[in-house]
Amino acid sequence: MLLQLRNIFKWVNSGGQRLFLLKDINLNVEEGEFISVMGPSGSGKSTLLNVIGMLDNFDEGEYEFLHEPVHTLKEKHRANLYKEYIGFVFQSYHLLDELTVKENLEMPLLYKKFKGTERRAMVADMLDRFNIVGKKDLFPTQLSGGQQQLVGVARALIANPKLILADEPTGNLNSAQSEEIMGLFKQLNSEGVTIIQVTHSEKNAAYGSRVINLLDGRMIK
Amino acid sequence: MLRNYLKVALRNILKHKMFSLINVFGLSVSIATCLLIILLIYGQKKVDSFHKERNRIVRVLSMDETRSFASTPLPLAPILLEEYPHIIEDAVRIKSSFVGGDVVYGNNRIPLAGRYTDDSFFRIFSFKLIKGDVATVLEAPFSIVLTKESAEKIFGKEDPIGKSVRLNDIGLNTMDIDLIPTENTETLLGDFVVTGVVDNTLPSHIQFEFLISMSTIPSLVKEGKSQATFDGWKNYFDSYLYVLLREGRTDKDLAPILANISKERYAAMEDMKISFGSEQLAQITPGAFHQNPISLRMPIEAIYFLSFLGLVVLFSACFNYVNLSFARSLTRSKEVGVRKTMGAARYQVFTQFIIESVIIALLSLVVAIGLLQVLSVVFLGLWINQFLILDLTPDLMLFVLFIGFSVLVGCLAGLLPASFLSSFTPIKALRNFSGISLGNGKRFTLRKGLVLVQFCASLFFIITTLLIFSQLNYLLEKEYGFDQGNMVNIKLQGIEYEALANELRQNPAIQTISASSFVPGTGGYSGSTEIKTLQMPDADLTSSYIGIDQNFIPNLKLSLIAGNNFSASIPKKDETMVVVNEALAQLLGYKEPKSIVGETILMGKDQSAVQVIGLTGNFIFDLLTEAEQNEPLLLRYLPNEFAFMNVRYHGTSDISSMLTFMEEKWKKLDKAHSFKYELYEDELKATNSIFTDMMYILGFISFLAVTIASLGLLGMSAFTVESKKKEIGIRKVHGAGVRHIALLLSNSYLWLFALAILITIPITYFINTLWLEEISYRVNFSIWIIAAGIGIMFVLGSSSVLSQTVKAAMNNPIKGLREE
Repeated sequence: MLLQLRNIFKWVNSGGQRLFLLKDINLNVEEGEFISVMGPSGSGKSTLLNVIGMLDNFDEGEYEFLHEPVHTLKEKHRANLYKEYIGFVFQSYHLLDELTVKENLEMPLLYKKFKGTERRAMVADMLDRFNIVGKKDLFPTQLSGGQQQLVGVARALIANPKLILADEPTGNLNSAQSEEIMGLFKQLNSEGVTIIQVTHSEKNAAYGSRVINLLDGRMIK
Repeated sequence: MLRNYLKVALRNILKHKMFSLINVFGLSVSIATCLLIILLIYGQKKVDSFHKERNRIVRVLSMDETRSFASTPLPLAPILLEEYPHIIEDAVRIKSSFVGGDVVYGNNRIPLAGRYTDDSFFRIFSFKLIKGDVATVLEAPFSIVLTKESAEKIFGKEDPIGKSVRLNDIGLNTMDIDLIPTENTETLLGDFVVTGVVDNTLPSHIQFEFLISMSTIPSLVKEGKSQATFDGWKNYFDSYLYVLLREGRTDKDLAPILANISKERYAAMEDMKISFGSEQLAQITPGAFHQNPISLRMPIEAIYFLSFLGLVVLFSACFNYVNLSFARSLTRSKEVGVRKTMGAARYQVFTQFIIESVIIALLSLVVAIGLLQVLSVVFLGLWINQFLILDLTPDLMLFVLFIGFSVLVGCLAGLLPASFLSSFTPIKALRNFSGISLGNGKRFTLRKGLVLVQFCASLFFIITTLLIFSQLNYLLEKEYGFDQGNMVNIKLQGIEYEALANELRQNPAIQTISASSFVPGTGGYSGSTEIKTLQMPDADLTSSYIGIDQNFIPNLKLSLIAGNNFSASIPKKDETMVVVNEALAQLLGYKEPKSIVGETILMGKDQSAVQVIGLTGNFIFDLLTEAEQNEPLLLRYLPNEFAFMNVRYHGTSDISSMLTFMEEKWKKLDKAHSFKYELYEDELKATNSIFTDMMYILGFISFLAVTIASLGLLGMSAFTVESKKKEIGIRKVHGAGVRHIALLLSNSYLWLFALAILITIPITYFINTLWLEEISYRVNFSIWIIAAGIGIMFVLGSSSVLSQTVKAAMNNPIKGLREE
C-alpha cells in the first residue's frame, strides 16, 4: 500500500457557515496504480491532490503514506517525505523563466542535496530519456507548450519519486501534445511509477487504471 | 547551490532593469557617502596607532566647572612620578606656548615651530629617531631634535648632528593657523646643539617641526627670556602631560590619585576650581573636543554628524529596496511556489533572496568606489579640511571593511523582503497569485511608513539647506560698519612697521596705510580689559580692545560720531587717551553716548585713568558668525601690539602689479619670512566658509535624499500601475477619464505627503532654531523658506508619480483587460 486516506474532511468557514471542500474521503492507493480524479469545477479535485501531495492540510481524518501517519507528522518531516517520494506536474508547467531547461531540471536536486557530479549525471540521463538534449540551454519561453510540459514531467521525475501528482497536465495543450504527454504517463506507469492525475477529459481518464469521481467534495460511486 | 543562486540573481537583475537601476543608483550613492565616512574614521583611527605603548599612554586633562582642557600645570608630572611610582612608570610634558621662530644656521634662516619636551619623550612615544640616542637626546639643556624635513631645510645634505643652530623666538604658532597674531617682539633664545633627527611622518596628534629639551627652560628663566614656573599651579594652559602607566594599571587607578592632587593643590585657592581627568591615547583622535588643543583635529561630534547624514541616505536607499521588493513580490511568488514544491525549505529560499540583495549591494559597491574618487576630492576641497590632518590613502584592510560594509547593507536591505517572500506557502503562491495580500494589512502600513520617512527626511534636508543658503547670503551681504573694499591686510610678522610703510608709500596706487593689532571681522584675537568710571567705581565692565594707530579710523572709514581721532603727535608710551564705541558708552551708563567724550575712565587691573577723546559708531569686529549685537570696544593707541598693516589702494589700480611691488619691498626688509597678505573683502567672505561647507554638505545630502525618494516613488508607482492594470481597464471601459484615474492612483501619495509636512515642519523649525539662535546676525526663519522646500519636494515627487500614473491612465483599456 502506497497511501491511505481515511475519513478526510477539509473545510473553510465562510460567513458563519462551514463550507466543505472535502467530505469524508476514503481512498487506498496501491503502488503501480494510475488514477484519474474527475469532477466538475469546484468539486475539490485539486484540493484532494494537494492534500495527497502534502502541500495542503486537512481538518479531520487520517492519512498514511508508506505507513507513516502524515496527520501526526511535523511540517519538516512532512516536507522531507514529499521531497523524497512525490513529484509534481502543473497545468501551467511552472518552469522558472530565469533558468534554462537544464537548470530547471537540476533545481529540485539542489534541494535534495545531491552532489554536483550526481546531479549532472541525472540531468543528462533525463535529457536523454525525454529526447530534449538539443534544448538543454534554451529558456522556457523559447519552447512550445508541449515541450515545456515535457520538461515539467522530466523535472517531476528526476529524483525518482514513487508517486507523480499531475494537476490537469494537458489543460493548456492542444490534442496532439496532450496525447504525447498522456502516452508518456502510460509508459512511466508501466515502468512502475504510481500516477494520480486530475483531468476534465474522459479521453485522458481512459489512460488510467481507475477513475475517482468527485462532487461537492465527496467521492461518488 | 551557491552558483545557482548567483545565476538566478544575476538574471533577475538583468531582467528587471528598472528595479535594479533604481536600487543600484540609490545604494551606490549612499554607499559612496558612507565609504567616505568610513575612510575618514579609519584615517582618524590610524592617528597615533604606531606607538608601541599606546595602550598604556594616558593624557591628563584639566577641568574647570564647565570646560575641559587638554593642558595641565607643569609641576603635575614630577609629583606623579615621585609619589606614585607604583602606578606611573614614566611621564612626559610637552610645553608648546609660542616656542616658534627662526632657526638660524649660517646664512640659512628658516621659520619653524617646535615644542619643549622632557627627555622621556622618545621612551614613551614611538616616533622613529633616525639619528641620536633615545636615552640622552633631550637630556642636556640647549639640545634640539629636528624632524627629517626641518633638518633638510636647514642643513641640506649635511649631517646635522653636533652642529649648532641659533633660535630666535618670534612666537610662531605650532598649529599653523594665522588667526592668533604673532608677537611683535623677538627673543634670542640662544644656541642649540642638534642631538637627533626624527621621522615624524606617521600620523600623530602631536605636531612639531623641532623639539627642545625641557631642561633648557630654567636657564631661559634666569636670563629673563621665559616666564615658565615649574612650581606654579595657576597656569594650566601651556603644557600637556602624557603618562605611561605601569603594566596592568588603568586610568581607573589614576583617577583617585588625580583627585587627591587637585584637592591638595587647589583647595586653598578660592578662584580656581580645577580638577584633573584623563583619556587614553586612542581616545584622543577621534575624540571629544577639549579647550586649548595641542593640534586641530576633527571633533568627534563632526564624525557623528556626518555618520548620521550618511546613515539617513543609506536607510533611504534601503527603504527603496524594501518597498520595491514588496511591490514586485507578485512576480516572484510563482518562483517561490515552484521552488518550495520542488523541495526547497524556507531558509533556502530566504538565503537565495538575501544573496540577491547582497549582490545588488556589491554591484553598488563597485559603482560607489568609482564615485568615492570624485567625492573624496570634493570633500578634501572643503574649507574646514585645510586645518585637519586627513589621511585618506586606502589600504587592503580598508577594502575588506568596504566589502564587509556592503554585505551588511545588502543583508539589511534584503532582510524584510526575503523573510516575506520566503514565507509564501507553495499552494497559495502557485494556485492563486492574488491570494497573496499586498494591498492591505501590516505590510501595507510598513511600505507607507517607509515612504513617509523618506518624505520627511527629504523635506527636512531641503528646508535646512535653503535656510543655510539664505543665512549665508545674509552674512555675505551684511554691512560691517567699515569699508573693506580696496584694502589689503599684511601680516607684519615682526617687521618694522614704519620702515615698511615708508617703502610702500612710494607706490602711487597706495592711498593710505594704517596699523592694528588684529583685523576686524576676521576672527583675530582681540584683547579684553576691565573698565570702570570714576562716577561709578563699583560698576565694572569687560570690554574688548583693538590696538590701532592714528590712521586706522579714517583708513577703514569708521564713523567718528564725536570727539577726535588720535593726533599725529601722540606719545608712543604712557597711554592717556582712548577712543570708545557707542555700545561701550551706553553700557557705562551714558544715556547720550556723545557725552562720554572728555570723561575719564579707569582701565585694566591697575585702574589707570585714561581720557576718552573720541566716540565711534558700532562696527562688527568679531567674526560675523560669533559677534554679538552692540559689543563694547576700546580703540587704543598701542604701537607695541601692531600685528597687521592695513593698506587702502585706489580702486582703479592694478592689484597684481601692486602686490608684486609690495612683495619686493617686503623681501628687501625681511629675508626670512614670506610676504603674507589677504585682500580684506575676500578674507571677510572666507570667514563664512563654515556655512559654505555646511551648505555644500547638506545640499549634497538633500540632493541624494530627494533623488532617492523620487526614484523610489517612480518605481513604486510603476508597480502599483502594473498591479492595477485590470482595475484601470474596467474603470476606463465604464467611462472614467484620464484625470480621474491618475488622481485615483496618486491619491495615497498625496495623503502621505500631507502627513510628512505635518510631521516634519515642527521638527525642522525646532532643530534649525537651535543653531540659528546661537548667531546674533541671522536671517528670519521665514514661512517662505518652508514653502519653497515643500514646493520643491512636491514638484519632484508628483512628477515621479504622475509620469507613471498618467501613462497608465492613457493606455488603451482593452490592453489591461485582455491579459488573463
